Amino acid sequence: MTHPEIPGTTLFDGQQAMRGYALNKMCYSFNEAVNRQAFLQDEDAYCAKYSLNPQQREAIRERNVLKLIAAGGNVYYLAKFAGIFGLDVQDIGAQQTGMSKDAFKAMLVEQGKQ
Amino acid sequence: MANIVGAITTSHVPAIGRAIAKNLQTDPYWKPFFDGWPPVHRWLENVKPDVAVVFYNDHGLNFFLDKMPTFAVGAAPEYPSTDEGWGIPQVPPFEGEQDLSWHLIESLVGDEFDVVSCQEMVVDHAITLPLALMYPSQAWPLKIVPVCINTVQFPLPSAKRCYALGEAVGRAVRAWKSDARVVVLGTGGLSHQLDGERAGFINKDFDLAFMESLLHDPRWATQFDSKQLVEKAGTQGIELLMWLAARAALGERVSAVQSYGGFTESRGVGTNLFNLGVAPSGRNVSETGIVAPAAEGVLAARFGSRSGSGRGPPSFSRSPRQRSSGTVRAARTIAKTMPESNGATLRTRPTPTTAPEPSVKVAP
Repeated sequence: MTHPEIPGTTLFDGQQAMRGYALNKMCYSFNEAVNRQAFLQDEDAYCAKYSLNPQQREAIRERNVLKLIAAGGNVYYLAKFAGIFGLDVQDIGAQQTGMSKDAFKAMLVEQGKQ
Repeated sequence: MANIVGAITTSHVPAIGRAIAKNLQTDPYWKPFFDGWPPVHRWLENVKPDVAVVFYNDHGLNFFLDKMPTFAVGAAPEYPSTDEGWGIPQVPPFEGEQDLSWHLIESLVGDEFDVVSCQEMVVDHAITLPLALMYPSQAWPLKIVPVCINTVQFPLPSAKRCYALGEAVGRAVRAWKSDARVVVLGTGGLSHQLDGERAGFINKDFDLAFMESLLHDPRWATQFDSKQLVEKAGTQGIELLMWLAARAALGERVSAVQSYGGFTESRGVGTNLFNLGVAPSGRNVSETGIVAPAAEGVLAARFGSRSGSGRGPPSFSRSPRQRSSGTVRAARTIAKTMPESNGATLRTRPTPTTAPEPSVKVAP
């Protein structure tokens, strides 16, 4: 069955899984505190250890969620990267939609009222 | 043979874990949510399940993309809760019911569900939170068997397949040579999306229709393929597959449901109580199943903010006694709306009836 694209949505399929393998593997490592600490101590070295490609390295440097997704990141793993900086799913949502966090929350409220 | 006593389905909103850890259950901001659980606690106290079969989705804790099973069944003696990377508190480990694990694996593979078996497995908030909501002391009085369904990497199993898996699990549990009382859990959903420009997507109409379908037409969602479900419920809303599997495991014996639900600024919270017409134990209909929906992204948003504190108390409404066709014998909806909500309620189809008052009593 063919499907029209879902706007603003990247399905994490085999292509994305291959593209983002190194990036997601690094983010998966952030389940462990010692690895989160190692990243913070030397970000370049940590990214090099996981052989991130330039696109992934740049997206990590910018802490840019949409670019991380474009580079193959999966949100379940990216959440562990965001967690290093104390960011929650609202912060991530606000960043991806170009809203302030308050505006993002307000958007959620509106949807609940519809 | 083992006895399935009912099913509970709930969202696994990470923010709930932080609220539990900080003892905020009676905080005005959190109280409306936690107040939904005492009826579940009374039910659990009455039914005393010995084992929980938990349909859940791993969030990149136990499984990485190196090996990503579509269906995996835990067969471990113990399931530790470990660091998930973003600060949710850990809980005491869960004891595994290995005899049921291997019985399930044998039975499912025999049924042509070629599951992966896992003798070591760590569990994340999709298991720890629902169990912590059910048993606030976190002194777990039951053993578990996790059944993990992939929602991380496409292709995902279809809703139809997940429903069939749930049915097969239900058959297997009932054939298990044990006198154990087994509760089935399904955790995740409802509509939400964390990633992409569509982050924050919520589909209230779909959530309501889905919840309604669990009572009257449980196969309704199986008409949709995975991409259609993502379109309707969001990339993470597809976790509703867990609810489908849990509901399917109950079989056709569900005869009544009680539910309460409301929509917060982002998503809904509620509890549905499924009743079996005649429970195998001969007990009455009050000892059956519960479905406690609470949508994730919504609640994360709703409860992640302090802005809701100090608002008015939740309002309650109660639908008339209802009677439904088929095997559905009686249903009542207790709707509970959260502060800041628009008062949306989750209702079963009301049909005036002179049927006896259902024996189920759930205090608001």
